Amino acid sequence: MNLLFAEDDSLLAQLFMLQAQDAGYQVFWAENGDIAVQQALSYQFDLIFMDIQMPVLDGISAMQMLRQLGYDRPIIAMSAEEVTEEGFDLVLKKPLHWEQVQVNLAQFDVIPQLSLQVPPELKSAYAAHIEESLHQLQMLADSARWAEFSAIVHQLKGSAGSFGFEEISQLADKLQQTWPTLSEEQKQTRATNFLEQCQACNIK
Amino acid sequence: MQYKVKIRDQKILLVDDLDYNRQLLRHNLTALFSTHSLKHKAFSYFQAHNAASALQAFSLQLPDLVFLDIELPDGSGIELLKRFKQQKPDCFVVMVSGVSTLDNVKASIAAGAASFIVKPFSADKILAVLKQFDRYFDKVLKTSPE
Repeated sequence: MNLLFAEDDSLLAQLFMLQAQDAGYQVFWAENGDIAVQQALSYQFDLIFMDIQMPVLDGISAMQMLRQLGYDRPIIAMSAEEVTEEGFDLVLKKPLHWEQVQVNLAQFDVIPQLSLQVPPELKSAYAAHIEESLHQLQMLADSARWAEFSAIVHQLKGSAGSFGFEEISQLADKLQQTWPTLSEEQKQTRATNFLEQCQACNIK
Repeated sequence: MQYKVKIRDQKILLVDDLDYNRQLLRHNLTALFSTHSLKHKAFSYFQAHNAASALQAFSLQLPDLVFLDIELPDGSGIELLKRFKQQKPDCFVVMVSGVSTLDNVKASIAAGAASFIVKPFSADKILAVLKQFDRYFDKVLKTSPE
């Protein structure tokens, strides 16, 4: 079972992760409500534990935002205070006791993961599109047309993962993250490096 | 003489500059509609590759459900969303974005988006939206005048 644990206190989070992982659960830690919302929208978690008092975005606002966006998976509130807002499936009183958490976890099910259907002909058409994009990127890098270069990298980041080319998506994401901080010279080197990494991927 | 009341097809508009993304989305929408017990599953599709053609298609078809990429080559998806909601306030618009920052999500909700999908697409994300639309469309049908 995949759990998302949203809690700003890192010691509490570490303790929970140790106990839960020992019991065979997978846990991802989000240190505030903002990260919790972003992670939840990946729909990879069976259950969310949501602390109420958190920086950036508190647990109640995070839950309400997710519910407004149609998020229908279970969310458990964790609080020392009483929680009266609608939208939580359960409220656990803080401090948490692992034995009690485990008893409560038993009432929730693993949500079967659905896989995206990618018809083979669409996948190979997209693979050809990646090859073409890489070719274009090479030309743009050669003439230092970085705005257009970035636009194509951004598109690859957003789309490649959907068609089963996660590696390309991740490489594009990595490039994007550091790109604005690079000097003109560094951009050339980084672009060459990126294109080599992409070429090394299995694009079929 | 008996008349059968035909519930009209839902209209779905897919807006994305990349043709492959629209094909993938359409294929999976059809698959999910046919394999899951959703109440509203009669549909016809329309597509647009940029903001200008999306606005045109929207005005012509007045779709019930829209998947709208937030970054279009000729304009912002959020601005387009506002125009859609003006023309058809009960339209269910799902924003699609490669970036799930809180600002993006908040701006989308403020402009009238019903839901938000973070790329890459997954079947779980799409199904969650369809279930939400199913509940929503039920209410729309009940409150709309015959």
